[in-house]
Amino acid sequence: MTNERPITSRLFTTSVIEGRVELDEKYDKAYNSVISLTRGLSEEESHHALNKALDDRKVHDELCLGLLVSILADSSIASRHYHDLTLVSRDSLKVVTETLIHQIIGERFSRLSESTRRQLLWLVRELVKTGINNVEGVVWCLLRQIAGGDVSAKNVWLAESLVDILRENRPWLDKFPVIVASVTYTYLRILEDHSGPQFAGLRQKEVTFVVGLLRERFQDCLMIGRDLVRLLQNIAKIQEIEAFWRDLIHNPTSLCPGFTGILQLLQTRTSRRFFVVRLTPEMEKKIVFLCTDVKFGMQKRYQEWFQRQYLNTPESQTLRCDLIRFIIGCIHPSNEVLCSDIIPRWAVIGWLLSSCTSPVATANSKLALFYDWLLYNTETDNIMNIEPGILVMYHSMRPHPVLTTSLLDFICRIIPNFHPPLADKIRAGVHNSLRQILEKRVVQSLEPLFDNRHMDVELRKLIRETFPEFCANSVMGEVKHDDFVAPVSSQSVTTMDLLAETGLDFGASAVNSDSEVNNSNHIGGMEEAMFSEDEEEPPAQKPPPPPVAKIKVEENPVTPPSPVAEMEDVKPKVNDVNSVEEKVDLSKHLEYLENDMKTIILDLQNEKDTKQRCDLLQKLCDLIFSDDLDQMETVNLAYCLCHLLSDELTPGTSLLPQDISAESIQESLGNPLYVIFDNLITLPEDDHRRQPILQLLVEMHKTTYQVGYHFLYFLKASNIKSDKVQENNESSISTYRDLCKAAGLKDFAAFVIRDLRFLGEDDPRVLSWIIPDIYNNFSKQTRGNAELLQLVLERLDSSQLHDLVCMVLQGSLQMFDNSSFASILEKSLQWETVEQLFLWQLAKAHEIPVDCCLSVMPKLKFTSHSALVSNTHGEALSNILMMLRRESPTGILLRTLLLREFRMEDPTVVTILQYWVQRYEDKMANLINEVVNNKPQPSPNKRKRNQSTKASAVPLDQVLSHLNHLRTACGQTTFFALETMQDILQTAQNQCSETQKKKYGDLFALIEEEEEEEPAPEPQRKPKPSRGRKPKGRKKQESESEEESSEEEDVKKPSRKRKKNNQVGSDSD
Amino acid sequence: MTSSGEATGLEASMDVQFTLIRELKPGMKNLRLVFIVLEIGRPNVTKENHEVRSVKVADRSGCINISLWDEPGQLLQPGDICSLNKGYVSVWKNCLTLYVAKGGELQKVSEFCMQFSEQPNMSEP
Repeated sequence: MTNERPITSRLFTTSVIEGRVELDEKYDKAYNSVISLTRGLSEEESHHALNKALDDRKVHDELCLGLLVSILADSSIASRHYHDLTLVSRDSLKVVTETLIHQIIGERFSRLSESTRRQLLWLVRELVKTGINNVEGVVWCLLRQIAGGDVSAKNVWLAESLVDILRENRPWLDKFPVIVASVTYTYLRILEDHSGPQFAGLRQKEVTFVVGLLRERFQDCLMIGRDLVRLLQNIAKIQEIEAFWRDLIHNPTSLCPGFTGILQLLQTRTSRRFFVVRLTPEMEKKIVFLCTDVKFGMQKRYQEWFQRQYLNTPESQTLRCDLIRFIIGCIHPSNEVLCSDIIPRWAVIGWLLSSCTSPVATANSKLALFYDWLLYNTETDNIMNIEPGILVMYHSMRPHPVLTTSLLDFICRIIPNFHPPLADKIRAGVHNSLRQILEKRVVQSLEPLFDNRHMDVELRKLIRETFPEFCANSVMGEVKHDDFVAPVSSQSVTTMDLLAETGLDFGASAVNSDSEVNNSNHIGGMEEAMFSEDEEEPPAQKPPPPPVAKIKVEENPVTPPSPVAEMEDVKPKVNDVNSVEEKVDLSKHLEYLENDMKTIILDLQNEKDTKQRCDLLQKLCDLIFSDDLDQMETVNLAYCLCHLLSDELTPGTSLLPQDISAESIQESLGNPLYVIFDNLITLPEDDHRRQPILQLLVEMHKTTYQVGYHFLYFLKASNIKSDKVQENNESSISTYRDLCKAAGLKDFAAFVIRDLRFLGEDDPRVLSWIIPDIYNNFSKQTRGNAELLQLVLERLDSSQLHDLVCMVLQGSLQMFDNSSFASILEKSLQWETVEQLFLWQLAKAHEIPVDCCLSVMPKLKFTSHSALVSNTHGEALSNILMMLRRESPTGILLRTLLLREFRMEDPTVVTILQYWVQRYEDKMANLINEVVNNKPQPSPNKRKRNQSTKASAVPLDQVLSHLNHLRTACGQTTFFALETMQDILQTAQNQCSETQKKKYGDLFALIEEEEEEEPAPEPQRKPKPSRGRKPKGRKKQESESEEESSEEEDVKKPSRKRKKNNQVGSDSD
Repeated sequence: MTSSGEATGLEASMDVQFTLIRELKPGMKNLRLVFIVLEIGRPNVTKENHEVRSVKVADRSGCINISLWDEPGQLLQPGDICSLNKGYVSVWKNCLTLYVAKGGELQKVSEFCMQFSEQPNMSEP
């Protein structure tokens, strides 16, 4: 039986789409070799057989694995095979623990079948009882599998099983301080999830256990750091925890002789292993991917998926804190990532905060965000831990002002309220944070934040009281001074520093002293790097470091190799730009250069006169022409140039002169950087000397993003200089494409968008000046590109918009066309109101017909007087209405409108119906007639197939609901009195079910009334044939009178009609 | 991230070339692809009581709709990363559509960790 290949998996759950995997084959093979050796043998015999086969190392490993698989797969034989395993194994079960850590728990836990999971816990209990080497690593992996915020039976079972194992084996546990701390951290955290009455038993067990650890092993728990306090506070309502809390504050030495009190804990930065232990490997992988691989703007789907899987229940809201602490403490992106278009950490955190559904969890999440601010110490804390907090506030000011103000409010109030006896320390900590944020130029100035217009008076006052020194003039002066130095240099300089240090003297780690080692990034190297980071934490508070072997167990399965690589102290170096360090910095790079070149660079370093600098760069270009550069030379030269030209790259004013004229623009081209550009464009396209210059620019562009838009500026400006504006234009600016090609990048659109995004941020004037050329020269890649369009509209002011509108109307600019508009429109629904309104201005200029917008109609939501403006699409709907207004009704338009879901609170459809009825009464009646009669309700499907090109059939109920709305919302009755409409209502009534008849009773009531009691209107309706010319004369009056009187006039329709007709009559006479 | 690259690992180890969505053309068959599921459409029930779903999938080069029958369509979730063998492409109702051929197989290999692009949408007429 066992030799047959099973279809299903021995250990894992399978389905049609998740079948067997390679591991299954491996495990089955090992299992089968055990079974074939021992089949039919008694316990003793099989033991002997196994022992005999073991001599070969390979066989040994396979048999151990086979025994492991059999233990996990078959509870009936488990204890016998465990016995075999312990006797047979010659590596103290290393194969077993490693397989558990790396494969079965680390990778495949969520796929284990229920019986396998039970067997796994049984096995772990045995391993712990026996005190097997490395089993602490297995326990640590299992701890991670207890998901935060998950109270499903499966997860609760795991938490309970593991706490049982640990309770029963305290002496074993006490031997591993790191595990003690991790266990404490984990259970303190998930106690919060177990607050429901159904968990009372489990909760008590966990509380007793964890308080026992806290009291008996407090020395070990101290290594957790400040987040220990955070977790305790969240569950301080539990009696035993509260008692412990009191001792922590009032009687610290009772917990541990050297412990001085809560302040000591709060001043200790939490080691990242504790943040890691609170995410399952799966969650960790996804969050790390989101923060390091997903482009800003592309995150929406990933966030939805994550939300759906992990944050979708009320209980799961507590997980948000864990995620925020993990992102802050463990994901410290490299500068490369910081400068790229990857989604920044603050945006992910902003999402986690704003999508939270529970007020308690929201408050806790805010605290989690600012936790490292409270006692921030510039010496021991890391700027990367406070950076997200300030950036969330800063970047949310415009798109989510409420988030910003609520965070500001929070940070002000937390200072006195967090722990009143420590209020002064915390005030100092928060002030330290802000000061360092300014010093490291995380933001240029706090002024826009502390003085933003969305704050109410009270908050404004609160901020002024809390942060006087950051609001008063003194600081403004300081900031201004800084501003002068290099307003936008931070990013570029940071990159350069990083480049300079790649592998050289990065961090304190000796391992990385060789660039090769660093680049190859083997796990071994990483471990060391991680380790050294942890050691950088204040040593005083740390217990003696645990033995290395243990750390390996923990860090190994956990740390995702590259993303967490810590480039922490890069930002801080920003301020050194103009300092004495320069020469030292460059010398490393100069080594790679030839002597002539070295001389030029050194001259350039000392030369201040612009003209001379230009000459030096020309010499440099000549040198490059005569003497090709190799890769190393290019990279190092690029670094030196970026460094030496940093002032020119970030001049602090717009590249575009104040008054634009041919002369002033020519003057603006005196920048030494442009000498290189000039040399490039003067060479013919097939000249081989272009390549080295292009490569140099590519490297400079990589180092310093500003090079990209300077190049664009130069290409356009140099054309104007030569006065042949239009002719040469095309060939010239397309040189920019060569830069993209030379960089080996295929996605030109992304390339240009990246440069334009930076340009928009640094110099919006140039952006609007240059954008028509971008569209005209690269129309294929740019036309209809929503991302590009938004980035333009985001920066535009009204006069720049007018410039664009004029160009579009002149026919010299096309930003999108009819076919691309619908998809742009759909994306624009996420944009800011102003951006959307600007888009509509451009749409009008492009003469986009209304048909192109109709496909988006079903996605447009609206609710009158909604409290949540962000959920409505008023911008698009009102503009579409304005377009529809200019159309005369047609069958297609009407069908599309009637197909829109009827909602009482949405006046869109009824508005245009009323508008048309007022003007095209007869035509509307006929069209509605077509809709109702052409498509009888019973067989909409058949119809659809026959007329796939037309808009699909409208269910009768839908038609009636809108017509009824017309009656109720606009008081429309005259229209229904038309003969055609009467017929329609009659037909409809006949087709209706009883419930529908009831539902639209008031509407159908209009039929009878007319026929029975008012014969008078009949003759008046007769002269309708002459109506052909009526509408014109009628239009104004009717709409006026409608506006004035529609509300009061519900019932008195006949008289009103008469009045109107009379008026018309007299008018036309 | 050892297993986020499960898909790419597969590619490397089995030494097979995966077709990119952007390169799909009507009539192509015997295709191997790796993609991430973006949207799962509502099922249409055929006369024989099969559920057919149109599922929007993407890789880094673009996106396309794949037509899935019964179980696979029920079990998949947006965000799942799948490998497909024996896929073929044809035009249905004016839209380029991907199908699983007889004997072909769709297997979920991972989740979430894959970059994709929604442009071009090959199924747009």
